[in-house]
Amino acid sequence: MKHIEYGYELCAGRPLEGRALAELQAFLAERGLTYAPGIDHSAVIRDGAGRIAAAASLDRNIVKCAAVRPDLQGTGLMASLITHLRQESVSRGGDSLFLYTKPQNKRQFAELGFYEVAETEQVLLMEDRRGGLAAWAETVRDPRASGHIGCLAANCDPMTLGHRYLIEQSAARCDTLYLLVVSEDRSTVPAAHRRRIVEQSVRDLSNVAVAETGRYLISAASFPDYFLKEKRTAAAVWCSLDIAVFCRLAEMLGISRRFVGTEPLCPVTAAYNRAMAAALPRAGVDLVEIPRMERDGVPISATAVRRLIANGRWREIRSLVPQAAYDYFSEEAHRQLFLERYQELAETSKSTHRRWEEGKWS
Amino acid sequence: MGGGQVNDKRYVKDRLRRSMMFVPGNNPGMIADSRIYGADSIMFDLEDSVSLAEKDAARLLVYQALKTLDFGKKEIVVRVNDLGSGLGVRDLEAIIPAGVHVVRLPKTDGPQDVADCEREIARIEQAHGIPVGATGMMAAIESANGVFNAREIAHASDRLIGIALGAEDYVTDLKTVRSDGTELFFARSMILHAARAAGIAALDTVYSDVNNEEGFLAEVELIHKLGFDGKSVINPRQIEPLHRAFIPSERDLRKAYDVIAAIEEANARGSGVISLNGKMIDRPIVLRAQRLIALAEADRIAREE
Amino acid sequence: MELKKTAVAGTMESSDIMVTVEPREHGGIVLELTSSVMKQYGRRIEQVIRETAAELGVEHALIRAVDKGALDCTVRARAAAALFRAAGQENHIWEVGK
Repeated sequence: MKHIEYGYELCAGRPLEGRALAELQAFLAERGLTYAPGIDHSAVIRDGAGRIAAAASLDRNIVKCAAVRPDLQGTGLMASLITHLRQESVSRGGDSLFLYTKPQNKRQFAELGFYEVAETEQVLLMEDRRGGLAAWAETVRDPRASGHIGCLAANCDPMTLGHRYLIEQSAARCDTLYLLVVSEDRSTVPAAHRRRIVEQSVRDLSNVAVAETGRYLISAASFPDYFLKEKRTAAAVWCSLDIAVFCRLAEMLGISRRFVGTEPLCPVTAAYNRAMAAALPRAGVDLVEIPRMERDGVPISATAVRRLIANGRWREIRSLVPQAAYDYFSEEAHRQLFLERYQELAETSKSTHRRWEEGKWS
Repeated sequence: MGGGQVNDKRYVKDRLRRSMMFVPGNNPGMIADSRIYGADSIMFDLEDSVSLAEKDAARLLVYQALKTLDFGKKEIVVRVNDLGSGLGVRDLEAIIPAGVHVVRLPKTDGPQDVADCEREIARIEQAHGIPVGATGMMAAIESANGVFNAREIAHASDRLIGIALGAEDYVTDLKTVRSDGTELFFARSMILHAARAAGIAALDTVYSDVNNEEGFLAEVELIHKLGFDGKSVINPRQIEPLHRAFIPSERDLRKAYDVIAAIEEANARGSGVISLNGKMIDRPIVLRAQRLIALAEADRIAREE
Repeated sequence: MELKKTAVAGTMESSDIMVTVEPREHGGIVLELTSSVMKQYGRRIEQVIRETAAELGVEHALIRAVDKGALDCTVRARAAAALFRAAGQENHIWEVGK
């Protein structure tokens, strides 16, 4: 660590641009890493000659693109970078730092205060606190939960009668159902609003406990794959990690059944369901597939609902969504918010989505 | 835990100060290691090496280190922030009760800066039941104004053990940069004279190019010739060569012992005239011999540590 | 001393310790420690952090610490700095560690 005293300089701040960015990209490429989208803060250490010696970045509270030049490994440069990123995350409000990396990096990051959340053959998820997952599980836990405990995760963007049917059917097949609404804000309706609509729409189902997926179960779209050489395997890698995290949660909450809707349309979700069917029984969890509710021979889909609202035909969603969702969109301000986010998402998701669709599934 | 005073609290006015090792106050590794290098004085820095956001943490760190680490016979100096910044008083409030020998005041422009700092030190000593006057001071002169006021600064307090040149800020003030030493000649001469007139130590600035040993040695030779007592160092590697330059040669030392022996012999015989090898020994020769022997003796003691 | 926000002090450089303090309403002092010298000094580091929190009158907090071989005085200084920062307190009590 004496290194950094003489001649090594750490510069940090907004994401790099222009020539500096190109230099960082080349530095990462040499290490088999790609500069990830979404980075909002970068820290770079340069040696006395001005060459990049080490670098690491943040995408909100996720550490990305962390690397040290091979001839400088073991000199504490990564410790300096992570120290800086921790200070940065505390100054942003004190959230945890998360890290998705190759499993062989486990020891290096464990020494820097990261703890394993879940691990698969290809990926390791770590957090800079030990009890993070357990603490989150406690916020999900319903003290009245007993008997056969089930779990259903859904984005509900926005909630449709198809969701309602899926929830009803699931709730009827267990004693307590944890309904996890996706927390991530990669949606047309903000997470807090989605959750409120869901809560209002399942009030009559007494054995349903609504919670959020939190920061541990992330969507495929936001899974960082910058460390994977073969980007087309990203979907499968994400899937295996997501299942591993779920298995830990299931153990903590005593979940023995996981419910999913059958997926005739989206190949990503269909493959995910197949992977779960294979993996969950090993963790003592049964996967239960529930056929989608159909209207006029086609499943009710949130995509169709979103399209109607986007095209100004929001009144037509009445027969497709629960009352709470309809009431929500009756408000001009909510529709306005929806339209803004809808456009923004359409632009950013096109490229990522294509990559995921092409994803190879094993 | 950490209760007892591990280091002598009271400063020593006159002592060996060839090297004053600069240690960034927010770096625990360097603070801990500072004990193992042979510097005569250790200076923990709360000023320029500590960023504004880390001032609180560095102050706590130096406070805890002073209270609990054993620095042996080394002189402990802390460079505080200037009082005008609002941080200086808080630094003093922490380090004086923790036990520091000498407070190094940065950016001293005139005698009032010393007086202001002394008043705060006395107040804090009193509040903590420390004998008033137990803490020494040194003033770093880092501006053209300060250089002109060097004489008044050197006389501004009985607590002063020395004055030092801080060259980085000084050359900027002069609108020049550091080069072969020509640019510092006037300031060094002023500071040296002011220190000698007040009977205190004259300490030279740091040499910051740690990889240039030749340049460092040339500067050491220059300040030694000028008459400085020592120099600030920023890298432990600089301590050994610096000390070597200040250690009297075997030949000079032998001569010095001969001078002292001749005086003693003359005194024993009751003779008023002292000569050695046919040469008259006058007062300056005796003083130089005594100083040389004292330096060699102090070096021997420092090495035994 | 009342904690108001999450705060951090120290670094993960050699001989230092990075301490992150998060306010808690209840549950006492919960400590998550990683140390390069866990076996020999883990308990000692934990003790020093707990003592420092107690001396500053902090009863509930999640304290995460990553130690890189810090001396006791460093552990105490960093824990105190993080706690003071979490309390948003400027004036330090120089009696800590007496």
